[in-house]
Amino acid sequence: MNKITLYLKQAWMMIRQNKLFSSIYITGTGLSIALTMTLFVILYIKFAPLYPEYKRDRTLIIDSVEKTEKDSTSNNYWQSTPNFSLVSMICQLPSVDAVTGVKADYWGLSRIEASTLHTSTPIVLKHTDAGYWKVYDFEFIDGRPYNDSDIQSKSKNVVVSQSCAKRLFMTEDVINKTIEISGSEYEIIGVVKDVAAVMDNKTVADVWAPFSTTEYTDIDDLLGDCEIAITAKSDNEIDAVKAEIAEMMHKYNQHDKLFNYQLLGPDTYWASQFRFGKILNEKDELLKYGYILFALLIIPALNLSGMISSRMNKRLPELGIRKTYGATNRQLLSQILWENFLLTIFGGFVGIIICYAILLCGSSWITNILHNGFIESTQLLSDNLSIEMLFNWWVFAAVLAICFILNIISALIPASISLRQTIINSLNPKQ
Amino acid sequence: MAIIKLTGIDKIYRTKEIETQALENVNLEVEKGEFLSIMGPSGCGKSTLLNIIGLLDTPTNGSIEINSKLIDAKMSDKALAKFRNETLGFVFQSFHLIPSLNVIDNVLLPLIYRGTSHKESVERAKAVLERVGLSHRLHHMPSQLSGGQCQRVAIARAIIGQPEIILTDEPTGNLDSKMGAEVMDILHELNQKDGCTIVMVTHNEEQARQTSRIARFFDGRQVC
Repeated sequence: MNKITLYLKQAWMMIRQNKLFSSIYITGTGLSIALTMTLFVILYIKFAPLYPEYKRDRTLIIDSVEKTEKDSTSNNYWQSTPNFSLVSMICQLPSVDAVTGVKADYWGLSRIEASTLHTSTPIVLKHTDAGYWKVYDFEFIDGRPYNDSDIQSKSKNVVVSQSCAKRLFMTEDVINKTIEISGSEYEIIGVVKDVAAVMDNKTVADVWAPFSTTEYTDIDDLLGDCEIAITAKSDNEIDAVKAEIAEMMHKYNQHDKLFNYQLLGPDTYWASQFRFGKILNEKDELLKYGYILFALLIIPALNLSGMISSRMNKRLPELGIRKTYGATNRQLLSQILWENFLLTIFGGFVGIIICYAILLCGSSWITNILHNGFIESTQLLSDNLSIEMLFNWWVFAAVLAICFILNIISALIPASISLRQTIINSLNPKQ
Repeated sequence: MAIIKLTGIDKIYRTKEIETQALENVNLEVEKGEFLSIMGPSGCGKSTLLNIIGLLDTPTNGSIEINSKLIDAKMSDKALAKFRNETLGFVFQSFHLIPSLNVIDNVLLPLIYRGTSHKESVERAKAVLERVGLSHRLHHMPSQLSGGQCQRVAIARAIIGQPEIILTDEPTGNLDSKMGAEVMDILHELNQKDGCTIVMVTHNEEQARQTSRIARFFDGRQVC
């Protein structure tokens, strides 16, 4: 049994002997950790590689194009989403692994009815090109994705989610069956595993159809109504892709006699989450998260610090006797931090339970936060968070790190102050 | 040969308003194997002197030599802690057992800081607890023991590291006469059989007379 085991053994005894203090401390720590962990899970969902967006680390996003007249006397200016021609141009670039255009029809996301002879249900319908299935890693339960020839031939072939298949046909065995969407008949050629509603707008849907089957508007050469996602061959080639796109646009602008086009992007997936029109201010947004995290940690840490301070006063004679028998200040500080760490770890467990309760009860609230209220749940889209979102090493490592930081902040100062006392003052604190 | 040598020890406590001289020019030598009692009225500086000998407090002036080692004011926290751990054992009036540790864990405390293996520490703790008659209370908590038993645990803790010097401040002050006598018997046995040098602060004239020598103090000065 080493020193740390003895420290932890003593800490366990103290927890049992001081039940009120321990309960308050553990609950306080648990609440703080729960709130911080909830924030962390939301950020994890927002940025981590999750189904079907496993390539987020090498994904670039272009959601807007700006167009100005070359005539310097004109102030005319246009800004819009790009169009599918730009997708075709980017597709040719050497460092690009895959590229997709997703029709930007937020206002059409909900209240489209899909129906069979038996039933009908509101769905989220997404129109994409064939590159979509390369950029995103959907898991096909049955069938296949639509391909370039389906796009070119305007085949009314669709891919549906597992829940959608079950809802419409009471089975997942729906290949070659037809559904009616907005008065047109579509044939189901693939069934994919459901996408959680908290994922990115480009991937959340119940039904996916070739963009060529819908009316889309190419305003002119590059402006239209799609959003573009590009994957580089590796995360090291992101800069190369950006450079190739910049070069491509430079050449394009040289050939166009009337207009200059400027892409608002490409942004890395990470940065794209912080873009508001022309403004991309990752640092300020990150600072905001930093301030929230700081507040979530420092306020409870100060309270806990006060509690520990009062407990340290009660433990002064113990510190004195330990010093008398050969303990150094450093050893005692280490002991106090270990003991406190045990309490904080218990708080961590409580925090994890509270956090999961918050996440499970408030998943639709989280969906709204992540989509800025744009997405309206259908009966099919699941607000539920997946196992990989909730139970992963990053989240647990974050909890451990939070416990560690809370422990240091709350225990270090009171412990250091107590250890500054002389042995005599520690042994006889009333003097 | 003196195992403890104090030369010209002064101790002055200073606050903003007042200055109190607790010890004044104390010169004291304690021979190896001696059992010295320090006596005097309350506030005469007995405990202050014991604390200075135990390196728990520092003198304002003067030098301390213990076991032929001059205690330098510049000694680091670590060096002082090591010296206390290896050379000195302490027994206090109010026992100072750690309430969250059981008897055996309280006793092996000095060996933790010495880096002794846990197995060896436990064996030695059992041996010293048997010696003080508490081998049947190994896993009891201090709150489950009588005052006399607590003081015997404190003595076991003081001797587990086999220190050459035991410093004890009114070890029977909180005990009834029977328990006090038992504790004194243990201290005498340690002095006579193990050759431990013992310095004891006491108010009890009878107990003091049983020791090798008495040093009497009054108003911070040694009077005989």
